[in-house]
Amino acid sequence: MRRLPLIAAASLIALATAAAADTGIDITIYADNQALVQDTRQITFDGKVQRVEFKNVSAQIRPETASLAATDMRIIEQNFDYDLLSPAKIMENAVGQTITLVRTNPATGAETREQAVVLAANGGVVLQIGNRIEVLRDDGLPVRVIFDKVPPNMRADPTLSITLQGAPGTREASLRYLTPGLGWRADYVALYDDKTGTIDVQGWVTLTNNSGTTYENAKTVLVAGNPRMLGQSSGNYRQPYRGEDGEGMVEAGTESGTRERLGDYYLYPLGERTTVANLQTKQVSFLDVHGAPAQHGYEIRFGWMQTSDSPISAATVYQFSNSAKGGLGDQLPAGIVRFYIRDSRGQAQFIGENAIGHTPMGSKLSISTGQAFDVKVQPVVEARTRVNDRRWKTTMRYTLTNALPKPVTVRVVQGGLWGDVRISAESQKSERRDADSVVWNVTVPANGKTDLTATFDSRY
Amino acid sequence: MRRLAALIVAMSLALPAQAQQRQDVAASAPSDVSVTIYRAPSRNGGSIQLSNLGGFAVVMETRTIRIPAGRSRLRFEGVVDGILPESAIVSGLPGGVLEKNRDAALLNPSSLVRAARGKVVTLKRTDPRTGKPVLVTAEILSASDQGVVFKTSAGIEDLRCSGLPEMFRYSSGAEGLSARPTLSVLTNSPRAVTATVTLTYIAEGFDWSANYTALINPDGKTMDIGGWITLANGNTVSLANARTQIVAGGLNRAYVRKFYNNQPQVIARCWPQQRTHQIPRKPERPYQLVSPYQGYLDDGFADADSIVVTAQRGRNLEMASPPSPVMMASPPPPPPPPPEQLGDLKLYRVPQLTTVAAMQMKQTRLVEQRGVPFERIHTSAISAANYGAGEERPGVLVLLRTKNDKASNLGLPLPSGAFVILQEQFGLPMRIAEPILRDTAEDEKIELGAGMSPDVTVVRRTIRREGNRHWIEVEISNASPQAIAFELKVPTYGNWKIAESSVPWIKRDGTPVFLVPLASGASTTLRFTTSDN
Repeated sequence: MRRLPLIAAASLIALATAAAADTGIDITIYADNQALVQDTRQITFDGKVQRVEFKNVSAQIRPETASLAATDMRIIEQNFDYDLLSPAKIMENAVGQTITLVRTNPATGAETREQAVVLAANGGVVLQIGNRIEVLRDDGLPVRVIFDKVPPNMRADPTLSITLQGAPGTREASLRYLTPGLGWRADYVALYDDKTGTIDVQGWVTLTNNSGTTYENAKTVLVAGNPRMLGQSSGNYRQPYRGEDGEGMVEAGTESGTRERLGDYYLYPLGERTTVANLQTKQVSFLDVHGAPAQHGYEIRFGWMQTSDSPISAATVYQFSNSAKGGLGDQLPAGIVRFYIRDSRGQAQFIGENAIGHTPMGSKLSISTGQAFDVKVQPVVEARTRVNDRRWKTTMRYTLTNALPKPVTVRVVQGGLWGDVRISAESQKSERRDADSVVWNVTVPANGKTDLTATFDSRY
Repeated sequence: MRRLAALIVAMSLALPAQAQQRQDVAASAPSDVSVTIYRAPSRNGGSIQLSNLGGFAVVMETRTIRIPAGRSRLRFEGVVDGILPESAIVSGLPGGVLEKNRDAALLNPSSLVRAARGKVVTLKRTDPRTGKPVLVTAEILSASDQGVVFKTSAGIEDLRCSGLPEMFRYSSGAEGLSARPTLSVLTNSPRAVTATVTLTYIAEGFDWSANYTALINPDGKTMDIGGWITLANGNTVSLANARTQIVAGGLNRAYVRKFYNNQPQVIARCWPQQRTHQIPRKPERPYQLVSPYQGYLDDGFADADSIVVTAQRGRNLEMASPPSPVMMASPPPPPPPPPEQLGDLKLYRVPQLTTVAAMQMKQTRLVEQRGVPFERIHTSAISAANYGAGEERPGVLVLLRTKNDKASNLGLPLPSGAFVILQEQFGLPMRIAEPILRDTAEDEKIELGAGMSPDVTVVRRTIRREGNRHWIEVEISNASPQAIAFELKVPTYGNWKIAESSVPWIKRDGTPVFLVPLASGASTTLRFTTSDN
């Protein structure tokens, strides 16, 4: 590998110097499929204007973000050559030039060589051979075409080349650029123990490299947070889609962790240099907590006052905190939490997953893992009466059923209370969470049923 | 000699820590396998297509590894190809897990020639006169989906233009490329040890479905319900002698960006190859400015798209159904054990060890309940008010109604699935209907639609309207040879209600219902008024 760039430099691109061996690659990976690569190499400056080529840069490099830093040097021009060397491209570049044709006599196998000038290469190739004009391979017989040289701007791989002038000597130079194709997120494994009401949580950072290039022995830092990128709207960073039930972070934390920070972002440096191979998924642990307290509950949410002709499963919700006291004791970068529970033989079984957003330390989380088989709620509009031209009365009955051999508590949320909706009667005390919704915590006995009724006084 | 030793020391110091003395160890084949299969989120019945399975499985494998002291890379080969590498859990390593990797860069002809770009290889050509092979040294300049360009002492040319056999021989390039996607773990063991390691991971390309049969007994009052679980593995890896479980219930999946190899395959072809009449016109470059950020923006767009839940998957009804449970129903097996509670889900165990083979469907018994009493109900719904629509003649649906409780010889969780309702006629079971059952817990009611009845006719007329009051007449007639229990639903919206009626009615789930028993050949007329006052 070392030998060949020299051959190439000598024979094909007389002026170019290949940037020598890497002395180190540093990668900073952001959570949104974007990375900053710093590629440090030794460059021998000859004091004159010279072109330096950087091979093995990310195949998805954003060339407009590339910059080279070295002492005693000025940059004259920076080029990113992505004109891929292919049979068609080399022919198109040979227009007006002389090529060699090698034909084989089909009867004897004798080879004959001819010089030809390429007149045009628009789809097919038109050649001038002496005084006659021919279309290449129009007779359907094989003809080998031999070119003398590769056009100077054509590469087998995307290559960054920089024209510069520096004081003579060999020095380190750092090339920095942004590239998509490298990204990471967190993956959590949460094992819930029903008997003790605790969870064990392992956190892994999962980084993926789909950039087309392998980064050998890279020092890697992961950044949690979402820096604004070109083409994204400012502000209004949205948490990932979570579905309706379970709200992810229900109470934002106010504790500061011990993690390194960069502005408002958290940094997760990997412990040691590692090779991030192309098409690789790599995981490194960052969190391992045992026995944090957690609660298992049920929640159901109705967007409007509706009748359902069959019972609807309540969502299974697990609640825990990431506070230093009685919690996981770390901030949680955005990712996916997978819940497991042990079956009767002690084997951990998967019971559902959900996405969480970046969660500061000290937050309370409520994560829905799915729909409960045995805990259901059937909402019914019992009556709807016009009180007068401006007011209506709606009586709702929610039938909660529990086919489990133990009592459960279901959090019933009735939303869609637009305007000045009042509750004029209810079978148990509700909590008005905000103008739009109301919450009841309803206990359902083992293998039993509870009816919750409420009368809403509304404008519509 | 000393100089050499010093050089080695210097080299090893220069080498990064990771590369020092790292040994590569393969784990044994799995000795104990457990697989738990989960359904596609959108599945509630219908057939399974092996080529497009939307469910997944959690696979647990126990393997033995001889771990050397110090740093080593442990390879787990033969994991299911649908593995989600980020879900892998490795336990039982004395040195813990430093890093988990999954390498998807595979060894194939394309990756081999790609890896050889810029390298010197041997080109084996054919002498056109003698037909004998000729070996030439060549350097591969470029290899892409557009073609392969190489350089020899003669000059630069393309592969496959000579019309005679040509191929490259490589001396290296296979390093770092694996035969199959491989999961590996970096560990640092304090001592050499033989460890039993458990690997747990989620893999896609599995699914299962529940299929029930309800055979109506000659008495017309009870039915025998049987159910089968059909499970399928659409992966290329078989799980031999596996403890097999199935989980029923709705569980959340988080949808994430999938990770694909976007490198095109290398294609060796001569250009141009076509004769004049075959040559396509070269596409002209459109004269417009192209944003340099176009690619990036597109990428961002795809990103936003990828978080949309895309659970809906069209079912191809033309595909073959799983082998019909009907055919296997002859000797009644004992009722299978009830499922185990797993959090808020249900876990079913396949009683014996079984092999979940690649590209295979397999069936196991789910329920076997005889003599389930049911009511046969004829029902239809009419509107509480209509204007100028004239007569309404709603269709009449036949419902088989029972309750999932012990009194009805049921009382066990029934995961959602497709039912086939059968009744014997001429000594043969005849298919009556194929309704879908949703996840049904103990003590819930069960209503199975058993088709439309042509024998029962319902005609609704508005006799008179006055302000917000409508006078309605409904004529119901029964031409069937049996007495029927008819239920007429009058769904009411807004302030509409039934004001007066000639016959009593009840309210069920917020909807007024008239219960009308009707003898064979009888007809009756209901009269009532609805109002919006």
